[in-house]
Amino acid sequence: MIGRTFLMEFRRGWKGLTLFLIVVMITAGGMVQFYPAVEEAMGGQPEGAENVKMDIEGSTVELSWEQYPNVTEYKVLQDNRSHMLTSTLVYNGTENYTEVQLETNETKYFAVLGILNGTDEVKFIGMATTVKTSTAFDELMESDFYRGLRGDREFSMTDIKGFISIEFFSWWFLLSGLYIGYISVNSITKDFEEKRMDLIFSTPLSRTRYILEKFAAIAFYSFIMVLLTGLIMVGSAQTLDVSVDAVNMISAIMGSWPVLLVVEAVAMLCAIFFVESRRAVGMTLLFAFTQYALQIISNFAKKYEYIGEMGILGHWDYNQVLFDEVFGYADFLLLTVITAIILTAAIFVFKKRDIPI
Amino acid sequence: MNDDIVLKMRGLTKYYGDAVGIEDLDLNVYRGEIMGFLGPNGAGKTTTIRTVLGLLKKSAGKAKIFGLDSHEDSVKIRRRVGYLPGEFGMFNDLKVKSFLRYLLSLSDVKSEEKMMDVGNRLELEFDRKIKELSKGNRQKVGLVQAFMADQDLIILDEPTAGLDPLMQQRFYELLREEKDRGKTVFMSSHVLAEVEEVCDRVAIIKEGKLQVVEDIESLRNKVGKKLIVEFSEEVSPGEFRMKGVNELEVDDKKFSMVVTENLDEVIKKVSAHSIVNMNLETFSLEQLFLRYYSEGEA
Repeated sequence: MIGRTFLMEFRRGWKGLTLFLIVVMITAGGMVQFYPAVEEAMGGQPEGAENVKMDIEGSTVELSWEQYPNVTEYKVLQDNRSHMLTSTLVYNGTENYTEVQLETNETKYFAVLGILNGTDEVKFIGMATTVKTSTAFDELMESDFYRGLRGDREFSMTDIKGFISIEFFSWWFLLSGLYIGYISVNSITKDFEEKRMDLIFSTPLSRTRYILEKFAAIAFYSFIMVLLTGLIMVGSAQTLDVSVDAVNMISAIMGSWPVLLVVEAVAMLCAIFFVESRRAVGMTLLFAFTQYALQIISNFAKKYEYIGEMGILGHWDYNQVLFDEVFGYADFLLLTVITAIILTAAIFVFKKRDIPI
Repeated sequence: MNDDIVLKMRGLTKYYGDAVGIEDLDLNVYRGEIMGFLGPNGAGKTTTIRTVLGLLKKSAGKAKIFGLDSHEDSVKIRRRVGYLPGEFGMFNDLKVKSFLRYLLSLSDVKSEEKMMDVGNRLELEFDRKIKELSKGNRQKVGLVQAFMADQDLIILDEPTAGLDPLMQQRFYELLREEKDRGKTVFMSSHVLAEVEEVCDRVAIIKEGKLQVVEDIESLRNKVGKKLIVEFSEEVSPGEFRMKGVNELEVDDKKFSMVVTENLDEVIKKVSAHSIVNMNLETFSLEQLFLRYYSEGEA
């Protein structure tokens, strides 16, 4: 008798669950495969940096380059961004060197161009920048949104840990949390809406056990999903010439499991409270989005850190595991306790309420 | 006698906000009887059943099944109660047998013997998917699940809805057999003929309040018999104005009346005259039912 409701959840839902699992695993494994291409494309110096020598002394930047055959005139453009779309001309002459005075501490990019003899044709010679690690992704990381994802931690997307942190962990909660919330609500509201409750509770199944078995089924599924996703990511990284710490990687993602359990418990409370899917799903998704928003906002600046602490995502610090190799056991425990409290509330409400026809 | 009470309601009340679902119901259902529970739509039949089973929270009063509180000991009670809801859904993607096995497993019953027996008698197709079943066949699944765990009390809400006449007869046979085996049945119904056919007693509910609880025979006696007589001569209506004669109607030489007492006296007065035609009929349960609802009290 014990576990029958648990097993029935899998029996009826295995197709959808498996499909989602496959999507998640393909996404996680495939995402890692993008890393080398990203590193190669964005991880080095600006294009042609090897052709332009740059020395900085105080506020003076000295740029020099090899003479190029058939080039009679050189132009040097300057911009604050690597795309050079808003550049200004800072040198136009025949010499293969120049000096530029910096007026501020802002990042500067320089592009050296050559005009071919007797034509209007332009030859790109190379770029140089005042930033030590100047990549497009690094610039991106300085944007408000990415600063929100990073928190106050400094890392680069050209590092595998940074890449995975931004490209996977930053949105993992949205993908998995929304799905777990959705299926958790429906596992209960569908029994109401499809009028199965009377038959289910004509058997000696208590309302407490009904909720606990439903919860256990989805908790077990989410555990498998999280674990497999971690394993797939590690496996995918192993196929590349990239070294990752498998234990840290899996630990980092396993930290999301109790976060998903909280979402599941909230979903079940909403399902019991609202009885019908639409409102219960709506409230659950609102809860999940709010958690995500709280986390992003709290990461904008140190002064907003307390906002993140109020949300559940503030208690899953995957970067701490990835970069510092410190697993937040206290947070894990706290989230588990929060789950237990919400689940107890769901059971309490269910025991007090009528089962509508 | 108290030990024989399987289901007891005392002042059982259920309000939906300000609306009355049922109010102050007192009712006993005894071991080994089949009790019919009658009332029109919205009278409170389903509310009563669902409150008794703990699916609805009572507003006041008590309901006990096998001496156990129907709310506090709901799980214990459900080990001994089979229930067919008036409306129910199933897992449509499962086969009939799988679904019934799932419910059996929730009841901790290992044997499928009764499930197969009842199902075969109702010609239930166990290997069909539930989503492929007609309304009648879905009702058969509901009936099988109510009987399959061999419970001591079976509560049925509109059990023959959707069943064809042949299956209805088989269901009545099944009920009688269960009664012979000492099981107790409490069933609501709109179909008065079936209540008349299988029930020992009947409770009638109207607007959430219990109107009458009687065994069917005494209910008939209490309401009386309808006498229609046509005389060949002029007869004074005053002759029939006596205790026990109600609803006297006279159309020239044709008299119609409801006799609840003194039938012997009435017949003697009738026989003192020359008669063209006479009919003494017992009210069917349907007529009784209509009388309750059209006149308030019989």
